[in-house]
Amino acid sequence: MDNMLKQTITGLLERNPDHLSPLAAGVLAAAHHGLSQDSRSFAAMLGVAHALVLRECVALAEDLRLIDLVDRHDRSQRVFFSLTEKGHNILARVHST
Amino acid sequence: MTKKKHIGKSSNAAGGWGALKSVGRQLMGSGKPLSGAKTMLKANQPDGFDCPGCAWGDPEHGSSFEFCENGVKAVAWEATKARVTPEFFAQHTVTELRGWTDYDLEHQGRLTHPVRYNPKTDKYEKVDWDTAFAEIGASLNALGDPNRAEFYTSGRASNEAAFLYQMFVRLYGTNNFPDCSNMCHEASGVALNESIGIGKGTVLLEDFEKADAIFVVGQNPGTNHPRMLADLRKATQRGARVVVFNTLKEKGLHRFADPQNKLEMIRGGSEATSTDYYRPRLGGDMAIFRGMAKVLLAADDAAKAQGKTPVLDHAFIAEHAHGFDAYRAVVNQTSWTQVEEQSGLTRTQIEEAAAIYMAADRVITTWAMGVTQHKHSVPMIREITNVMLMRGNIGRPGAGLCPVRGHSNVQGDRTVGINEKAPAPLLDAMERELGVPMPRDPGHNVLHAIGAMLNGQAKAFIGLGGNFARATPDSKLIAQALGELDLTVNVATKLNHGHLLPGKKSFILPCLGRTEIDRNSAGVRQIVTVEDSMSMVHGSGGINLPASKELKSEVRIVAGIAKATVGSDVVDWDALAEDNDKIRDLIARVLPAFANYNEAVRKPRGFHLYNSAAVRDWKTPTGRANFSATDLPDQTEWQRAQSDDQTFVLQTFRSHDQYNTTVYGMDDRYRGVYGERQVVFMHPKDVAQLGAAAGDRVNVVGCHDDGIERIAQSFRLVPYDIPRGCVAGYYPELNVLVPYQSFGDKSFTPASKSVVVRFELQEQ
Repeated sequence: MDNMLKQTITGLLERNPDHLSPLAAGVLAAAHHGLSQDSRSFAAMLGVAHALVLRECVALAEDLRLIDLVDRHDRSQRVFFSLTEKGHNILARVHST
Repeated sequence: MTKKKHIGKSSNAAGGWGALKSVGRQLMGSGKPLSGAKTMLKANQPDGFDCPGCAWGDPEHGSSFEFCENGVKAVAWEATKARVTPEFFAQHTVTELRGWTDYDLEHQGRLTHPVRYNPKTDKYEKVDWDTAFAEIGASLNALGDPNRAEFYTSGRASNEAAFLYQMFVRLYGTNNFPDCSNMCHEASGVALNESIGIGKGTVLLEDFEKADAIFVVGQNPGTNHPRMLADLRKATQRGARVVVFNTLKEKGLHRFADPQNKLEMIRGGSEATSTDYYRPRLGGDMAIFRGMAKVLLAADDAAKAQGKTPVLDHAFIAEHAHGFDAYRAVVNQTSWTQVEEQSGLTRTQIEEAAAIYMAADRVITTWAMGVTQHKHSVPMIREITNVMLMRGNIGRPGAGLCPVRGHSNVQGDRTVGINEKAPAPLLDAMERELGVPMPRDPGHNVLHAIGAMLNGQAKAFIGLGGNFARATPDSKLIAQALGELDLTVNVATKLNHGHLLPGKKSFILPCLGRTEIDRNSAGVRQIVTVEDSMSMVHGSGGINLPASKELKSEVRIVAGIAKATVGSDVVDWDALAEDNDKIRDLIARVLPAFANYNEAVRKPRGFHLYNSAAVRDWKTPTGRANFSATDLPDQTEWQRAQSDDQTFVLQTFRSHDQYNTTVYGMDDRYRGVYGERQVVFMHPKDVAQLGAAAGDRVNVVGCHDDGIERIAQSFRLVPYDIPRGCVAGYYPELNVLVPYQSFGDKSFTPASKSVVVRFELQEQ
């Protein structure tokens, strides 16, 4: 799983060097591989600060339209997300090469 | 509003499930090895997120907010979906809103648009930003004398906003900078500057891992800075002594269940946060430390006579300290009778505490408002410092002084120039940078600003955040004074009572919160910076979308007012408002400690500001750390109140569901109070002596002898484990009892922990 995740992240970053941060690529890759679909479990799993993941999720949703934020937990601020069609497409292109 | 009022069982240990309920379900990782991906994602994360919940140090810098009740509350408070729109204001007059509680006002949600008060309709109405800036600028320029305006700063303001603000205000022509630190740690700043040449604490978070003993004085971290509990707990776990001097028994200072410890959470366990807990009388901390000094001197004399290792660090005193002989004399003159009477502790208890101090090679002493809000707070803090100097406990690893600040950037605001008596080097540097003279006359602190409002000298009030009207003492007088002004402007995220006391012209300007993503006009995200209680400067970028597209950052609002008031001949406000990096470059040119600011702040955890005392570089007139040879006060307020059996000394403090004047909820679960805030905590025997019973209602009457009637109506008596003659209750409700003329010597901090009051029983 580690190698698969790394390959997807690397592929996303190579194809979108100006638009994606490593963390944003990680969120997309985790969603793609079914590892995580919420900010907090992603942060716990990958050992990064939840706040930073939240920020990337907002950017992926609002700026790039690659994920939809489908729910938010009021207290922890955890956001639940799913890949948009555009998000699926960008990942499909990574894996098509 | 939330639940039925009752006084009941208090929560067990601080933190724990109660805290975790605030956080959500427990995190469960997948357990799969993802080390490679982890490494990739951890790289290149230049900006963090600084929790707005408190000013305690943050080793992780990004995740701690969700494992701390304060952090969760602060972040969720800004992320509320509720909105205060122009339509809301159209439905409610200001007079009507004044009848709402603080809690109800803030729970209406986030302000969405700039609004201007219309005295004809008694309502706030939508206004566009440019008009607001232009009218504010015109009103300020119409005052004639810049010293007739008061420019308040809340500790929420970032370094960038605060620096821009002080630059604007000084270009306008005044040093009138009342700010929230005037009401909290001013005494620490004054005392530490006199003693060690810098008005800040000397320790880093890492020092808590090395200390053999930590003395926690007059503070309640369980409610005010919960992340500190984890560090105290770690200290007790590794065998360090944690000694508490606090008037009330507070849960967090006994035990703490760490919400990040999964096993402990499942088992319902908790660990001790202190090893020794003493409960002095209000205002008695100086006497405790004086008593400890007596023990130290006696022990040192005995060691010398017996040829044993000295108790005092004579080498340190000889090389680094000044005034020790005079201090020794004043300590020897102080009687144990006076020490015991003022402190409320027995000689034996003080000897126990002193024995812990003497047995520890490395000692940290921390304190907060329980120390700083008395008439004799400055000598009290100097006495704490004296005792630390006696064994060289300043300026070495694992040892030092730690005044724990409240608001997350109150220390940073002062560092970047929010200071009514700014140091000459700052003003000199500003003049060099801007090429124009800066005002040099001292300006107004909070109490001076109140005085100027009451006597009609002040005509305008600009509030960069905060709730001035409710945070200040004598809140009824302040309310009248604000209403008499020509101009009131409040920069805010939510509605509060301070906004409902409009002057002749009044604006509420809604700003972004720190949790929200701030973009400039080109869409480029901005970060701000803040300084914690350990002098660490962190970068912080927002994590959520703004509550409204109309919101502006505090930086942009300050720049807008500045441009409309002083013009752009000297400063290109538009350029600075567009790019916080440019503001940081400017700060770096003015303040040498911020060299390479933009680069340094983008490193993990940020950077540490040079702290002279931490490296034993004493920036005092003597060039050394100064002992303070000051007598104990003739009488503390507690002693004064003992002159008859009807008077008590009152301290105001926060409930657990409260952050400064922001009331998140109506509960104080660690003290067993639910759904109610109009309560007074009193020793059960004092309740009986009043002829009252638990739960009875009383009016609390101020006894300050200035002819002004001060009454807080209908408060419920709550029997509590508190020294006899001492009572406690929540601010801002009890601020009506705090006389604004009653303040700390030299610090001008309201004496909110030493208010002499009596009680009138209501018919039950």
